[in-house]
Parts: sequence; structure tokens; C-alpha cells
Amino acid sequence: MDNRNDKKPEDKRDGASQDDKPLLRKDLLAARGGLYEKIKIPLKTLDKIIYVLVGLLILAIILGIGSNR
Amino acid sequence: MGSNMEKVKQENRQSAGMFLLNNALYIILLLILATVVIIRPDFARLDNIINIVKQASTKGILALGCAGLIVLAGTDLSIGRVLGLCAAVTASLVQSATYVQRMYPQITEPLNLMIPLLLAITIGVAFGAINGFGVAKLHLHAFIITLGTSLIAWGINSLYIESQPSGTAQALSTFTKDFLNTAAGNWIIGTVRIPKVVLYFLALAVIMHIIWTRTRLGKNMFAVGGNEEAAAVSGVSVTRTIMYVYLIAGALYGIAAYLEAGRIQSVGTNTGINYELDAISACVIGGVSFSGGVGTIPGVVIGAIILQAINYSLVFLSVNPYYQYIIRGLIIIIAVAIDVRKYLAKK
Repeated sequence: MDNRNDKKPEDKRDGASQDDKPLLRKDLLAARGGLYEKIKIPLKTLDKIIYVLVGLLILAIILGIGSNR
Repeated sequence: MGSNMEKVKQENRQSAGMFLLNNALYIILLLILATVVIIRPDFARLDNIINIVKQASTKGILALGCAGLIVLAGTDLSIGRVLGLCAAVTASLVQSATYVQRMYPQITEPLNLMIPLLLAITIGVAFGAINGFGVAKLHLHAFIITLGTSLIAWGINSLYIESQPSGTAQALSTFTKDFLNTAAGNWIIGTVRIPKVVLYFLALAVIMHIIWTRTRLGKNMFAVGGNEEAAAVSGVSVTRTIMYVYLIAGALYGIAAYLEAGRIQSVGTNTGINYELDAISACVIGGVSFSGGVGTIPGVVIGAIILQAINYSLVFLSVNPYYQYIIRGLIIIIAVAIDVRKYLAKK
């Protein structure tokens, strides 16, 4: 009878508990990556924001042309 | 039959919509350039185009370095100041021996041009190592560590320039002809003068493209940028990968500084100011995502050239510099908004 699998659940639990601390430290200090993960905005709203920004860009260019005199 | 046709039409509309959204920034910027050409047809002259690519080259080299850091979901705020310091060291070593107020009067023979280049690269790599160590080993946020090194580089640069025998902080200028020819000279093909800096930029872009796409480091970089924990579990050394990417970026800043000193021909304490904004903007416009793990070198090259073309066209249209800041700021925000949209659509 192969009883190698018997230890697996415990090993996994141990591994998980060992990994918890580094994860916590990482959350507090690293903050690397996942820059957009917390953004929860509907796509349609974001599209509207992009349209407004493009409008502002065009307006700024039109107002700016020839202004350096 | 009818419903199938409608489905195909709907799919076509969706794919066209996705294409427009994914390339929205390129389309907007190309439309702006097309408008400029219509208003001022002389904008599209060959010498203007060569000027744009020449000016884009040094900032493009900075963007090549910075792009790797953004792929790692990091950034670098020290680019401009590190470039300033490296350029000051380069400038001080390539001043003409006949110039009375040179930084090192004891240098009476022109130095081998490799010496200032290697020194500039060494300084860039040293700052890259500090930034990389802070991010990879100390797990500091890239914004913080690179902000700190930016101030350190600026301080050292100002002290260095002030240490001239004249006791003033005047800009370092009057370089040897050899240096100017190497860093800022032209290759003449027929009647066309191609700036050497453009060729250096393209050569470095090819090397970086090979590193990104053909080497283990490149694959590891995308793996770490995409999902750091998954990469670590797969056996990728996250620390080593981050360190290498920062070191390569530092080396590129050193090369860019050497070339920039030749291009502007006068290096002061304010040299390099805000260059990081242009480098980061070029990356974002070129499709390198701040979410990490996404980006291409051809995209960065195109981004650097388009950004410079926009800057050049604004000067061409006599746009007030204050409006130019607003326009450039809006371009960056739109680029990031489109990037976020792509991220959310994929999710």
C-alpha cells in the first residue's frame, strides 16, 4: 500500500501557513504589481470618460494654436 | 440564414470596435499630425522628420530602459536626474583642451572616447543597482526608491558641476570635435544626412527586442510582470530578474546621457529635468501596460517617435508652452485610461 499521499494534506496546510507571513509583508511593503486590480468602473462609464478626455485634448490644441506670440 | 448574417455583422462590428479602442491613441495622435500637415504642409519636410526622429532618439533610448521596469509593474522617476549626472561626467571629460575654463585643466590631450562612455554607463548601472536592490530585495515601492535616488543624483550632479575650478555652476560646454562627431554627427547617404544618434537608437532597439523576445531574461521579465507569485512558483528567480532589468535600464540611461551631452552641447544642473515623464509617456503611448507583463519594443520605438512628433508639431503651430504641458498631460491620461479599459475588457 502506497501511503505517500497520507502526508499531503498536512504538508499543504504547513505550506499555506508558511506562505501567509510573506504574503502579509508583501501586502504592506511591496505593493508591486496589480496597479489596476482595484479599479472597478463600468466599461461604459470609462468610455464616456475617455470621450470627454479626447474632447478636452482637442479643445486644448485648438485653444493653443498660435497662442505663443 | 438571416440570423447567421446578423451574427456575422455583429461580430464584425464588435471586432472593428475593439480595433478602434485598442488603437484609439495611435488614431488620435495620427489625426492630430495629419491636421498639422494640413494646416502647415511644410511640417512634412524631410529635414523636419529627421529632426523629430533625432530628438526622439535619446528619449527613446531612455524609454527602452524604462519599458522593462514598467513591464515589471514598476517605474523609474530617477531617469532624468541620473541622465543629468551621467551627462555632466561625460561633458567634463570631453571638453576641448583649448578651452580655458574646462573642468579638468590637467587633461591636455583628448581622452579616449570610450572612457567617458564607460563611466556614464557605470554611473547609470550603479543607480540601477540601487533602485533594483530597493525594489527586489527591500520590497520598496519603485516610486519611493527611484524618487530618493533621483534627488541623490541631482544633488551629486549639482555638487559636481559646482566643483569647477572657476567656482561657478556654469554649464559644461565646448566639447572636442571627435566627441561631437561620434555622439552627434551625421552619416551622409547621397544628399540625406542621417544623424548617428538615430542609428544608435535603432541598434539598441534591435538588441533590446532580442533580449525581450529571444532570451530567458525576457521571458522571465514578462512572467514576473504578469504574475510575480506564479513566476516564483514556476522557478523564476524574481529578485535576479528585477535586478537585471534595472541594471540594463541603468546602462541604457548612461548611453543616452553620453549621446544627449553631444546633442545639446551644454550640460548644466538642470539637464535631464522631466526626461522621465517623456520616457514613461513614450512607453505608455507605445502600449506598455502599467498593469505589468505587457509591452513590445517596436511599440516603445513608435511611442517615442509619435510623442516627439506631437511635441514638435505643437512648437510648429506656435502653441504656448503652458498649453503644451496641458496637452501632454492629457495625452498621458488618455493613454492610461485606454490601457485600463483594455485591462477591464480582458477581465
